[in-house]
Amino acid sequence: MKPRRSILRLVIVRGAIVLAACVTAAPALLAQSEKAAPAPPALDGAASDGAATKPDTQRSWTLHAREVHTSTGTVLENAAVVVVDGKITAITPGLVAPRDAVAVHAVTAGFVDAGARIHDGFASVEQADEIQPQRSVAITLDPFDVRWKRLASSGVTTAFIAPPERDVIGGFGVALKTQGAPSVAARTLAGQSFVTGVIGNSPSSGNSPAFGTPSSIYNRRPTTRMGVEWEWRRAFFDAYAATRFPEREFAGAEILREVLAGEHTLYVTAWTTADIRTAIFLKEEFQREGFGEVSLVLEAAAEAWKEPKLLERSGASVILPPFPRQGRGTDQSLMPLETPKLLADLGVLFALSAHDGRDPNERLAFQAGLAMRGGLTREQALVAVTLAPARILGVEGRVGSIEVGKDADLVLWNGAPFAATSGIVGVLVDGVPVASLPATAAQAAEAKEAKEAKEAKEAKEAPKTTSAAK
Amino acid sequence: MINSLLLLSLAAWTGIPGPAGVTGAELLSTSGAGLPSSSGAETRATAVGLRVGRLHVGDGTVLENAVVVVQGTKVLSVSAADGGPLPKDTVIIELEGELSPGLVALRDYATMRGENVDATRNVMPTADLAWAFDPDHRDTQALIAAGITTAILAAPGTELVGGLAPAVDPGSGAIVKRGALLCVGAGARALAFNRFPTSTSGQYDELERLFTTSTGAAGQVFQRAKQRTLPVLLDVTDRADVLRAAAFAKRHGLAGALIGAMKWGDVIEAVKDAGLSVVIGPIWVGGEGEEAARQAVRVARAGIRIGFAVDTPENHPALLRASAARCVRAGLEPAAALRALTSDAAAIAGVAGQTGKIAPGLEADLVLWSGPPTELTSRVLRVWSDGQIVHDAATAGSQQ
Repeated sequence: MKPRRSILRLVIVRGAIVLAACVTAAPALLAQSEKAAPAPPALDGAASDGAATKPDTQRSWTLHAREVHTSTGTVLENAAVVVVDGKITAITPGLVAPRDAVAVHAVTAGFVDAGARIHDGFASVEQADEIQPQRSVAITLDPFDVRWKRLASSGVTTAFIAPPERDVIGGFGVALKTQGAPSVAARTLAGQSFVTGVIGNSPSSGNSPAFGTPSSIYNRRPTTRMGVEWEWRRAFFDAYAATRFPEREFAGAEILREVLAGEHTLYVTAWTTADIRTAIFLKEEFQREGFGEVSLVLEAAAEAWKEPKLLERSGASVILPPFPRQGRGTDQSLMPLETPKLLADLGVLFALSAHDGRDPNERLAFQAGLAMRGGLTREQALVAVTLAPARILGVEGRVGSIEVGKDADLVLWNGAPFAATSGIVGVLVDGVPVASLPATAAQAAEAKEAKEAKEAKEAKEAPKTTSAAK
Repeated sequence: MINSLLLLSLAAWTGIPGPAGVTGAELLSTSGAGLPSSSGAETRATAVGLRVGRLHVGDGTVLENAVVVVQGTKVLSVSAADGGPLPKDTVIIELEGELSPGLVALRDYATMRGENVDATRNVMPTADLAWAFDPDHRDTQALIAAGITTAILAAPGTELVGGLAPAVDPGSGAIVKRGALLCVGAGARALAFNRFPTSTSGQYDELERLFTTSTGAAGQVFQRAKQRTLPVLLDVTDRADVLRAAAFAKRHGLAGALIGAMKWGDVIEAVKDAGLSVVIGPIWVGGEGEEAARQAVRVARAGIRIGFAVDTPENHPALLRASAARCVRAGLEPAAALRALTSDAAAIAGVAGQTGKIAPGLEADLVLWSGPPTELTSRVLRVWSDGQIVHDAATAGSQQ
């Protein structure tokens, strides 16, 4: 462990130098950075002993990649990304990989899955009523769930969790980091931005009319899609009407009025064209009736491509579900590989999602690869899993791209991102590696040295043991 | 129970010799009730001094060659053998073994036969669970035989607010304290598929509402909980539950304990921060018992007060002490384990002023063990409840 610590210290020094380089004039930047590569020992001591605030070594790294995909439209070649205390502090292209940098083929921003489903099943959705805007899924989440780590290992560093699709209006979803302190509150990026709900088959499933005496809380409406739509309309109508007719007030009505006032975005899960149309028509109806203007996100909108004009008109952004393995997906929705390409050409803000991503072949990086097969460029596919979902969630100020000042949520690749032959070799969340990162050149040399020394020692001792055996 | 008491009294009266090592005089410690010389035994009982080689006070201190003077139902004094004059007419009885306070089982279902829940309502803050206690039920015998002289009869964690749990004495059949703890289902067990709340969010929204807006008798109960005069017993399942419950308790300034979780590793700080105690559920032999014991030790080492629950009649009452013994094997100091079984448990249940220690003024709830109380090789030899012998291994059939 001891020699490793000195390497980490060196990394910090490098970080400090690159930082210093960044604030000096641009032409001096490269030269100074390259000059710093051998790292004079005197400076090493001075920096580590004299530093007023010691950076957290666990959250400070120098990464080097042949390609740094920033998600902002550029690919920097042979660039170093410096992470200090969990934030990106410098990005410097055109460098030879420093000996103490974690060197990989490519670095991208951590993925944002705006439709992840790492909830606690039915314990995360209150089913005693269909309209539950006042609930919040955040309190139901288990920060110790092993799925968080699995999700983070697959490159997803920020996730949005909505309650499972059992309520018409299920309450607030939450955008949070997939790793970090064992506390949902500490990981939360946005907790009260989205009121979530469902249009489709699922909120009515399990409900049935009462024949005779009701025997269950599920003897109720809605039992059909039509009923679901009616519940939506009634909830917003009552919430609006309650301002004049107090007897119409119900739990959570205030929150729906806030949605109408544009304070929260409405996050609607709607798989099929029929449901997407319903969502958009409801939004337009509320506007026409003077209730207010709803800001809409369509989640799991597999068939969003079928109504391009309507989609464009609504101004809604779209989160696509994972591609179905074969045939049709949930609610018999049809989502060809060309869907992301069609939405991109339409100019709609859209993101890809892997939902619970149980199968390795269904995780977000693979979805991006499939989207590329459907016609997206690598850049577009990358944006669809990083900056676009961050924008949809309103957290692009902290995550979604590789920019100085943003959170050090990074994915390290051993090849071109999303290529079938590439793998994710490291993930950082707020600068903390989800698993151990690849060795730096210095570490590799050290390990090689240690191995050789051990072998030499064994070779030296070997004759002795054989003679002893005799 | 009554029969065996009568037998014991009869033995004392007639001078029938007891089993090896027990003289007829020892049986006099059934207090004044059995003494022919006492008149008005209920009020002016003869003081009985129990001299024992080793006495565990229950708060961690151990006295060698100590004398406990019991008068009536209470302990009059505790002293080392040469610790000064004893009250006049004190009958001294020599005991072989080690004496400890009676054990306290936190959360128990003994004698209630399922009458501690109401299937139609899961919020019953004013329900007094003492009504479900049946002092004549044979469960009491099993508890006493395991050295348990105080049990907290609680509602299961399936109820959102299960009611007020009393502390009862299975030996005397007395209710030590009504409404000792308020039972709250703060974990996954309180969720159901077919009634509100079906979800954690609904559960906590409802608890929040109950604790802040309840009025009337229910409101008073929650108010007392928030004023810390009524401790709560928060049922939890996993670590996420613990975090939620601890945050809830902290927000409302509740005092009390968490019960039901098995893993505590990453949430100890949150529990400590909320100032809550932890009740360790029965720890089974084998399976995850090993890990559960290690987790319990971590909690105790962090400075959190712990107690034990055994959940009779679902489990055998002997599992209470066995759970503590497993914790000792996992590294808990025996003194701390005994504290968790006695004085700390009494403190969690808010009955430290009545029982849990061998101290002047407290109930004379005593257990004579054949060896150290937290060692499984030690047996219960005799149990006193409120100064009366309620169990004697020599005469109890199952123990012979």
